Amino acid sequence: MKVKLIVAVVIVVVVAVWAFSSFTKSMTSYVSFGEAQKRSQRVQVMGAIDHEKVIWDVDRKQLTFPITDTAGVTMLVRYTGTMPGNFGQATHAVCVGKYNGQIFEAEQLLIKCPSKYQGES
Amino acid sequence: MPIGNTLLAIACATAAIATVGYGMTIFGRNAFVSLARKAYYVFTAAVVLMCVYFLQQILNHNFSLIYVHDYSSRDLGLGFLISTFWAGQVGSFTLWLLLIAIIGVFLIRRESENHSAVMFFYMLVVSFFLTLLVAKSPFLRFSPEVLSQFPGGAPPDGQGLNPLLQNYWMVIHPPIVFIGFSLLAVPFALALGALARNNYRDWVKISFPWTAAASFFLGMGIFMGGYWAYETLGWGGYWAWDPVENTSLIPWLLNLALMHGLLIERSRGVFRRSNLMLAMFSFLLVIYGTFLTRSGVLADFSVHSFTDLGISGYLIFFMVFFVVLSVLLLAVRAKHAKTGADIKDPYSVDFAIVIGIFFLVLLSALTLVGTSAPLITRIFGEPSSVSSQFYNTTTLPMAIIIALLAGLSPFLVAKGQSFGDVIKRLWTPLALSFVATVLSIFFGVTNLLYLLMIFFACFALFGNIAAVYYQPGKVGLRIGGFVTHMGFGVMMIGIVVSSAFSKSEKINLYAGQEPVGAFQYKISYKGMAGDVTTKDNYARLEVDDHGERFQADPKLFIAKENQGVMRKPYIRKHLLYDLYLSPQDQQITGEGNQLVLSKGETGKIGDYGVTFSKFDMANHGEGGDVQVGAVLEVTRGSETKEVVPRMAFTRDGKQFIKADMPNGDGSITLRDIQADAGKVSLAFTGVPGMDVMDLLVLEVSKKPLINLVWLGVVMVCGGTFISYVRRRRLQAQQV
Repeated sequence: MKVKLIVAVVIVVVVAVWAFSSFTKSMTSYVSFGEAQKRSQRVQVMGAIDHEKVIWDVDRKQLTFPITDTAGVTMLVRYTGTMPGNFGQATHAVCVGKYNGQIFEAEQLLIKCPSKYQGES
Repeated sequence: MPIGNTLLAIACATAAIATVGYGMTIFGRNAFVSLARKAYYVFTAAVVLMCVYFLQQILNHNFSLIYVHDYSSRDLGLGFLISTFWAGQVGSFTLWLLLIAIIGVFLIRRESENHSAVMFFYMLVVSFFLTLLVAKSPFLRFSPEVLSQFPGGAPPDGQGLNPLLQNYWMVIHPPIVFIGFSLLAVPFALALGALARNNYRDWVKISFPWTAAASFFLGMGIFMGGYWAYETLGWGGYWAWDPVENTSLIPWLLNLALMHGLLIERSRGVFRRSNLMLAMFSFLLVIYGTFLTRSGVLADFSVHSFTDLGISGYLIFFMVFFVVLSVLLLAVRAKHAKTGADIKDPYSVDFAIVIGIFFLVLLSALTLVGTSAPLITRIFGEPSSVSSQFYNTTTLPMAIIIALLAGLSPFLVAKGQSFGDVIKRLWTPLALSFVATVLSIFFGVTNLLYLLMIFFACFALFGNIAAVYYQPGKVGLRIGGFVTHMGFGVMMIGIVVSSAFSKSEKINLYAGQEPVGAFQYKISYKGMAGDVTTKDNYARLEVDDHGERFQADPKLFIAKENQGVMRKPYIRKHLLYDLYLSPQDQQITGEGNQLVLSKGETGKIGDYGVTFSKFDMANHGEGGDVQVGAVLEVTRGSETKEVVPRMAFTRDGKQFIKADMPNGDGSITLRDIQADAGKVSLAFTGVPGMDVMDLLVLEVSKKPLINLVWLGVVMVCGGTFISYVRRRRLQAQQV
């Protein structure tokens, strides 16, 4: 009984330590724009999209647009890839990526639309 | 009082009677049991009628109801119209209540030693859903002031169903998932009932078929969701570790663990407390998942946008209530529920099952931690989510161990056997798995974890095939477990190969031009079938695969409901791989849409003449941004209009502020300024008469062995279904 318990505890501890390390490695913090501009690792930011200044470059498949956070700071976001389906209707964007000194390079773009279309599946 | 809310009120009243009536039996008062039973039947009838009435309101387009207005519209076909019943949060809770109520009818007719106590705890679950509906009724109407603004006294049409949900899976997938969730409430109530009465004699027997049925429905529901995503969303995958997906996976894994735990408790009379906990937590985590995905706490972390409807308080209250109740009961009875000595022989099947349960629980715990990351990290500082990388790296080793156990367990039959006995029977499946692994190295798999996964997944498959073959006597319905374990192996092979070796290329196709090559295919684009603004518009593609030609019709259109771009991939299925054509964008561009003009120069674009008259250096920008505009005279026939596209220089770089052409004929963007030469470069879009080129950006992917994923999951679920049938029969025989 004792041996089994020790083995079980050891396995749990090993898995926990290892899960913790991959947890911290794959973690993306939710930060303010000011904070995002200071950091070099991957972060997550959210802000309101300014639709007046959206640029969609089809040849390079680059979407560039300014977003403003609740503190009123505006930052330019560049996303390379397919324009998300509901982008035209989106009020806010959640961007996961890094700030490169000039522009926020988003690897992932998550669009927030007015709540009347809740996507549930 | 309107019919809907009246029926809801009747349901509440009768549910209250049933709850109190059954609850009093715990204190030894059995006088009200038959009343409670009758009350339950009335309650179910009221809920069924309420749902029929609700459905009727949807089918009759009663847009004075807020829910009906928000989720349906007149142009929906019957199938989608019915599916709007559960398209919104409130409606999905209504459906959930209906299923819980109907499942309760089967539970109430199944006599057991703890019957009344079980029904009491089941009624607590029922009350949870009723409370949600009372807090947020599906029969909420617009206020009379709003309604009086409309000529007919009600809005003429609804807002329609989210086009992403307009898919036949929407009709079938949510009800199946909710049946699975609802079924989990039964083992939960059975466990609490057994603890409350401190009587564990028949809880295993009664729980077995319910647990198997829950595995089947929840597994099928998860599978359908994944297949839906793969087949229609066009991002190429079937599983994204999204909170919504995870919160259905976690209870499923725990429920599978419970299935195995019940096997041991029945054969050896041990493991009871663990089973009670598994039964409790598979349902408690359904409630927790509901809280995570419906309260809005993860709104910024999930692609499914959730909003708080003001029910978070109820969700938190019930979650805490059920957790405290379960943990207290278990703590009070911990001593009594304890079972005898544990399993001593390490080469027995039961010992392997315990280890399997251990890893299934670890697997769900890891998924739970990842899904709850935003809440956990919030305690320590800024909320963070984890990327899918976390799940992939942590779950793969768990899956390897589970595959090993799934393959090994059928060979661990007799009690008191030795390691040598086990190995003797194992060499064929081991050799076959080894050959398959060597083959996959030959095909280019080099990652050690992938190789291990392939080896043990093959072992799970071949081991169980061999086990069925060597079974003494007739296998019959006992085959269920073997099929599930084979399916797990098949699924894991499919997952590893299809995700690690999926290849994808993005190509630009111009309508009517030469075919473009991607992999072995030559693809030509014949233009759109209609217009992107029309529903179900598709791109006409012709694909040449080594001389074999076929048409492909991936859909791409802008949905009128939300102006969102809808994509549906074209999938050509082969036995060993899928060709997956997903349209990304269509752009109307061309040679004629660029003009470079000096001051005073006139260029021609479509039907218009464009003259560059001067720069406009005015400082229009907010926050001190410098803006430069090009003042253009745009002429057609006798009409002339001044149009000024601008470019802003901000600290972040250039920004383009485009200007509209007259008469809504497209727009102009100022792309570049050569100030020293006094030239501007202009880009035009949508101007009639301009030389257009129709560009389609297409993603071409090849997904090897993806069919094994579907086959594997179907086998897993099919196996659980066979187990369900078997457990039902065994139960019937014992009565």
